[in-house]
Parts: sequence; C-alpha cells; structure tokens
Amino acid sequence: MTRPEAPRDPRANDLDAELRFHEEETLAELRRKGLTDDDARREAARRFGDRDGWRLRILQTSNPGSDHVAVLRTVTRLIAGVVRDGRFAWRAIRRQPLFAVSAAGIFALQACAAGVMFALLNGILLAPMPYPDAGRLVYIWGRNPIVQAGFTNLPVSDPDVEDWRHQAQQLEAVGGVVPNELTLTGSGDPERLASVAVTGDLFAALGVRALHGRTLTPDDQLAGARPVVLLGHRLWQRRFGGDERIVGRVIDLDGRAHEVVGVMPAGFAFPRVEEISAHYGFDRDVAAYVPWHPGAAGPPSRGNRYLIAAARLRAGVSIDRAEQEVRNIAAAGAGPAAHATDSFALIPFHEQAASTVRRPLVLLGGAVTVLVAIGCLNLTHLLLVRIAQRRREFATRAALGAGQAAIFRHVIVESVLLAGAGCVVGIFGASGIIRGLVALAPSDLPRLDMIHLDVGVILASSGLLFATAVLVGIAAIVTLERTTLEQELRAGSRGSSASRRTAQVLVCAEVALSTLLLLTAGLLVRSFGRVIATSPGFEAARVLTFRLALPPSRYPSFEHVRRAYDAIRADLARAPGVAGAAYTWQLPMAGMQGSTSYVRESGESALTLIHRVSPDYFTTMGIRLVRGCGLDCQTDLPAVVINQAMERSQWPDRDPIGQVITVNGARSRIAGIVSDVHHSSLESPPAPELYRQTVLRSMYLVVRSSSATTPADLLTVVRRTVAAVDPAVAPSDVRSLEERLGATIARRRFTLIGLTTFAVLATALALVGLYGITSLLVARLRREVGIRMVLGATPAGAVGLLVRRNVPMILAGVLAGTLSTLALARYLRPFLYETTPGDPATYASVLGVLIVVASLATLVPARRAARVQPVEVLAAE
Amino acid sequence: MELRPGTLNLFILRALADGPRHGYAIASWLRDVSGGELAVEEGALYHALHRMERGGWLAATFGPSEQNRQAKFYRLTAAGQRALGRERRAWTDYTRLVARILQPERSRR
Repeated sequence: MTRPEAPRDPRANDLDAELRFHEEETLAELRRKGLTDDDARREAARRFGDRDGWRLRILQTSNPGSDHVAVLRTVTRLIAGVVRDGRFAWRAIRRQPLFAVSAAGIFALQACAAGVMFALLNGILLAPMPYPDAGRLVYIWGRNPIVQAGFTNLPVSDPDVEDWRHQAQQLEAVGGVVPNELTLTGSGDPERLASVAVTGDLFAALGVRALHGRTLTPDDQLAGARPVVLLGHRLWQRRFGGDERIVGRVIDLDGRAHEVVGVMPAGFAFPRVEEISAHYGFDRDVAAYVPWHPGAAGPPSRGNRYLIAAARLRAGVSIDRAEQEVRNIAAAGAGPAAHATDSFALIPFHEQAASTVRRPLVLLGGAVTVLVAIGCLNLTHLLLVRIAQRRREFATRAALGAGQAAIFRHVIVESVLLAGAGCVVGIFGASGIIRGLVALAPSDLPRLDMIHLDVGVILASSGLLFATAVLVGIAAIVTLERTTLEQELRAGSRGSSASRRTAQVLVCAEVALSTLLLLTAGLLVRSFGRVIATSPGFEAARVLTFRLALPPSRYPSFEHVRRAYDAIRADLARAPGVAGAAYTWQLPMAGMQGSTSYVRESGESALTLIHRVSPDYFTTMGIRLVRGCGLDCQTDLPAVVINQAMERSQWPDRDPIGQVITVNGARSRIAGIVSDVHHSSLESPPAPELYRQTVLRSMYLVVRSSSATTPADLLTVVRRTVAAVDPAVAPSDVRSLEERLGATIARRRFTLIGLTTFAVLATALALVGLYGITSLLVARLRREVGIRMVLGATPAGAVGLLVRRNVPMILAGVLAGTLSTLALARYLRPFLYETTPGDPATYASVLGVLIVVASLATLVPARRAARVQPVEVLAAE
Repeated sequence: MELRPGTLNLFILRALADGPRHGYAIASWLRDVSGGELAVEEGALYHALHRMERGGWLAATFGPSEQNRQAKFYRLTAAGQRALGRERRAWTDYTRLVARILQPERSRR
C-alpha cells in the first residue's frame, strides 16, 4: 500500500539537501579522526543540537506563509516596536523635563504660527466666491493717471455702462452700483438704510437669484416705472420678521411708496466693501437695493464717474479680448471729446479680492516661514545635544543588537511625541491669536469672517508639524552619523570638531534668519513713522463729521436742499461749544472723490477731482488759503478755488487767479488757491482739486468744537440742532476726523503689528538657541579653559576665547541676513513709504541692536566658564 | 562560552568576508578560530544563515563542493558588507566601554 506523495515544498527540499551535506561532511571528518560510526553519529548530533526542532524553525523563518501574513506580522512587530519606543521615550523625556518643555514649547510655537497662517490662507485666498461660475466675473475699472491719487481703480460713468451693455459682444451681462441713502419710514422710527442703487443687468451678471420674488432688471430704471425695492436678507429678517408674503407689499422709503419685488438670500452682498475698497463709500452690510436713476447726481455724462461696474464674460472669452472691446466701445462713445489719459481695465473678482490682501499675507506668510525655520534649527540642535548626551546609551543598545533602524526609530518617536504635545498647545494658541487678529484687523480686510480654525486647517498644521518632527530627527541623526561613535568615545567629553562645526553653522543660520525678519520689521516701522508724520493738509483734532441725506419727497428741488443745508450749517455754527461748521459732498479719508472735466477758455478740457463745499469749509477744516480769496469772493462769475497741485500741473507758467473755466456747463472764475490736502490717504500724493459751492441731496457736515467741548457734548448739540431743522432726518456715519484718519492707516498698522510680532518672536527664539549653543560649547570647553587658567590665563582671556569662537559666526549671520534682505528688497518696496529698502538708519540701528544682544547671549554663558575652578575640572577628568 | 545576542551574526559576516563558504565550512572555521571554546549548536548557525539570507545580508547559490558534491554556498551582499563594518565598530566600542567601566581607576582619581 503506497501513500500518495505529498507535494513537497522546494525550500524544504533545499534545506534537507543542505543539512544532509553538512551531516555527511561532519561524519566524514569525524571518521577521519578515528571515531567509530556510532560515536561519530552521536558527536555529529550533539554538535547540531535538536535537528528536527532547528529544521522547523529554519523553515518557518524562510517560509513564513503567504505574503499578507508576512505584512501583517511586520506591521504588528512595527507597532509593538513603536509602542515600546513610545514608552521608552516617555520615560526618557520624564528624566529630562527641561529638554522636554523647551522642545515641546518650540513645537507649540511652530504649530501656532502654522495654524494662523493656514487659517488666513484658507479663509482669504482659497475660500470660494459666492457666485456661480465666478471665474468669468470681472470688475470694469477706469484708469487715469491724472486723477487716480491713491486709487488705481476709478469708477466709470452711466453712458459707458449703457454702451457696454448694448454693444459689447464679449460680455454676457454688464451692470453697475452706486452708494445710496434711504430712510425707511412708516411703522416704527425712521431708520436710515445703507442701500445700493443698481443699474443695468447687475444681477444677471452676478448670476444670483432672489430668495423670494425677483431681482432688479433694467426695466425698473425706465422713466415712469413704479418705484420698487429689493430687500437684503438681514433687513427682511429684522424689520419684517422674515415674512414670505412681503413680496408685493408696499413700504415707505424717503417718504415714497416702494413695492417690494424680492428678497435676496442670506450672505449675499454686493459690492463687498472688503473686496473693493472702503473708499468708494459703500457700507459693509447692504440693507436694500433700488434701481438707479441717472440724473440724481447731476446730468449723466462721461465726465461724471461714480459707478462701480461689474460684468460677466461670455464663456471662453479671454480677459484681454474683452478689455480691448470695452476700451474701443468707450473711446467710440466719447468721440473726439475723449481724454487721452483715460483707459479701462478688467480685473477678475478673485484677483480683486486677493490683491487687496495678497501682499500683506505673503509678507506675513514669509515671516511665519522664517519663524518655523528658526524653530527647526533650534530643535535640531536640542535633539543633537540630547542624542550626544545619550550616545553611550545608544552605543550600548547598538552593541546589544539594536540596529541603526531601531535607534533611528527611537529618535523619531521621541521627536514625534514632543511634536504631538506641542501641537495640542499650539493649536489652542493659534485659535486665540486668530481671534486677536480678527479683532485687530482693519474692517476692510477681505472676508475676515471666513478666518477660523477648521478641521482642514488643524490637519494641515499638525501635518506640517509632524513632518518637521521627522525632518528634525533625520537631520540630527545624519549629523550624528558623520561623527562615528568611535571618534566620539576617543574625544571623550569634549565633543568632536564635526559637532562643533554643526553648532557654528546653526548659530550662523539662526542669526541670519532673525536679521532678515528684524530688518524687514525695522523698515516697516520706519515707513509707518514717516506715514504718521505726514501732515494731512488739514487739522483733524476736535472735528466731528457726519452725513445727512434729504429725501426728495420733502425737498423736491435743489433750492430746497440748499436752503435746508445752509440753515443747518448756520444753526450749528451758532450752537454753544462750536467753533465752526461747514458742509461738503466728500470728506477727506472718508470716501471716493468724484472727478469731473472742465474746459478752459482756450477750449482745452482736462480732468480734476471736484469738491462741492460751503465757503467756510476751508476755515473749519484748517485748510490754508494760499493766495486770492475763497468761495465767498465777489466776482462777476461764480467763484471756484483750486489747490496748489492743480496750479502746478495746469498753470505752471501763469497765475491761474482770474482765469475763467467751465465746470459742468457753468462758467466760473478761479478766485483763489488753497494748500494741498491728502484726500484718499496719507500715502497718496495730492491730486489736482477744484472746489465749488454746490449741494447734493447727501452731504457731510463738518463741525469743529471749541477747545472746552467734549466730543460727546458736541454730538448732543449736533443731534438737537439737526432735529430742530427736520426731525425726520438723522445724522449717519458719525465719526471724528481723527478716527477717519486712523482708519486709513489701519491696514499698514495691521501688517506692521503682525510682522513685528513675528520678528520679535523669531529673534527671541534665535537668541534662546544661541544661548543654548554657547552653553553647550562652554560645557565642552571647561577642560580647555581650566588648563589655560592653570597655565596663567586670566578669566577675561577665557571669556575672550569663547566669544572669539562665536562672534565671527554671529557677524557672518548678520551679513548673510543683510544681504538676503537687500536681495528681497524688490518685494518689500510696496510696503515702504518714503523709505528705501536699503535705508541706512534702519540698518544701522537694527544691526547694532542685533549684534549686541547676540553677543550678550554668548557672553553670559561664557562668563560662567571663566568662573571655572581649574582644580575641579581637572579632578573630574 | 555562551554567545551574547547579535554576536553569531557578526561571526558569520566575518567568516564570509574572506569569500563564499558553505555552512559546514563556516562551522569548521568557527571551531578552528575559537579553539573549540564556543558553545554554539550548528542548528543555530543554520538558523542564523537563513535569517540573514532572508534579511538581505547574504545571498546563496548551490554549487559543487571540494569533493564535487552539491552544497549551498553563502556570500556577503553589499548590505552584508556594510552591516559587517557597522556591527564590528559597534562591538569594538561596546567592549572598549565595558573595559573602561570595569577599570574605573584609570579614568578617575
């Protein structure tokens, strides 16, 4: 009876052949030595040990079964190893709490910086636009180098928008908006509504539908159309309780019945102030949208530019092509009257949103990166020191069979464990900082409400942190590998030259990085100083400003409007505690100025910014009359006043006083010249400006208080005076002139505070690193210092020895940092104001301070070395 | 003498540093060099050989022995060469350290 042959494993065959060969060779050898067959067999078996047992074990080793079992086993072993390493690392960390706290602290700082940065990126640059297919949406901006004075982006005129709407082939829809004031009357108190007047196919261009009812269309603008209003979501909720039957109802606006045609969805707002600029006079939250009726701000003409235009490109159309068409249409519309300097630019929505913050964000992002880099350097050094301290332990473990991989794993596990602890603390810190930033940031920083920590941000920052932890571990091990264990043992406690070189490179790099940041911060501080030292051209102290809007229902003609404003102004000027009062259409630092064209007697026409003011505006604001007389001058024609910038650019060789110009169809005589005012911001140069006496429905009142009056008292007086003239109109946008001035530098201040914080943190981190490195150097050089002192060196000489080792590295770092700042100057220029990127005073002070504190950071531990008692050191050897 | 963990591997690496050998030759070399003082079962030796082959330190081929019989010959791979250098260094360091610790009077006082 034969058993069927079991399929044999080829490995088992090979092994059996190998073992048979071994056995036969052994037996042959033993027989040659004269042993009997039995003895030889017994001896061979003794030498081999348990034959079947070893055979089984070998087969298991070489044939562990199917592949995924092997993978599973490897994974289990790895996890077990990591858990063991984790426990081991935990014990090791607890033995050296100082190391653990500093390393985890640095990790926490990095997690914090990374969290803030990712949150900013996520919220501002990456968040999607709330419009369908937003990639095709563009703003159409006017461009004119003469009147831009701080604004690159200028509004456009009604006729331009109409022409584009009817003629442009590359644009799917075009529309525009202009700031508007409405007073909601009827049930409850009269309430001023921040609203927007809409022209053209704005809602079609944006591609947004109403939540209830419909949006506005060009038909609503037709003469004789019923007055309609489209409600914003918040107003609908707040004032009408979210009633869906509101559509079709009639509400009272400015004393006239308006039919509610629709309600916009929550979160919709256009224009988004933070994406364009607060300068155009729009409010943050739009309560209602009404159709725009050209003519409300004067007869529509191409010289009258106040619309913010937006358009949707047809699918597949390039910006360049559409831009060319837009320019051609506008040029054809203007005909021979076109100004040579006028042009138009199409800016995509997403670019518009990002451009206002991209540069500051890139700057802050760069600062964070440098901070993280310094942290990495410090961590690498810390880990190096720690590994060096534990070399013997590692050597022992290696000799006992722990492979390189195990030691590597051990270091990484320890580093990752510390990173984990740091991460938790850092993320909490980051959420605090973000709240602080949001509170601190200027209100026109785009999409501030979008900045918060979410899961993605937390994952990204912890990912970065753990990558750093692994990287630092690898760096430390690679540095370690270069100095062999044997060298280290031979060198005893003094450390090898290679690790000393590493320390020197670290010192150099840390100093270089913090130099870069400090210099950048220094340049920003200097620019900020220059900006706030700039005189605005008016006296901002003790001036209260507010806005009034007189509804057409009760003030049908401009004569009524003018009489009302004159009465309010006169009453205010007479009120107790008031030193002067005036009105103006636009305030400096408050909004966009309108521009207009004027014609000289020679027939030339040119553009200028226009101010519609009352005659006492100059004295109330503290604007100096340079020559001639003011707007109340008695001349044959209505008087206008120009500023020095206009005199310089338009009448460089002739006295403009007495010249006749035609402004908006009215022949006027230039009566005087006033000093220049920085109108849009302190940083923008004064532009040509023309002042004339006119009123529009909505004007700003400017009230200067006498020195004894407090702003609160003044406000009470103002409210009472206005109410006495008309109880139905309420002052809005009430702010002191100083407050407005402060708002214009808010963004610069934000960048400055952010960057300076990072720079100071980075420098502190670098100094801590420097201190640590020097301390270690001191510990290593104790013996050398001791011997030198026995041989007669003075303590000062010993300190000198140590400082000489570090100072060249510090200087090299300062040099490298300075050179890299100069190399990056191109990117810094937009942040600077009247400061060159190589400003010698900034460099001198920053570098001086840096060299002194860096030297101190090495000097303090060095002095410790000088107190070394030679006998002690030598005895310890 | 009993072997300390890790040493058998080192011995095998060292034995193969002179050129390819089969298991029997490694065993006899070890006995000769140690003067018979090592107490290692030959089964353990083969176990180690197979483990190291699997770990990539050794490579093996079947070929004719001196008596023209089929035998399995082992040789060092590049990884094995590196491992030999590393393990040897670690071991020397270790013994040096042990020696230092056992004779403290040389470095202290």
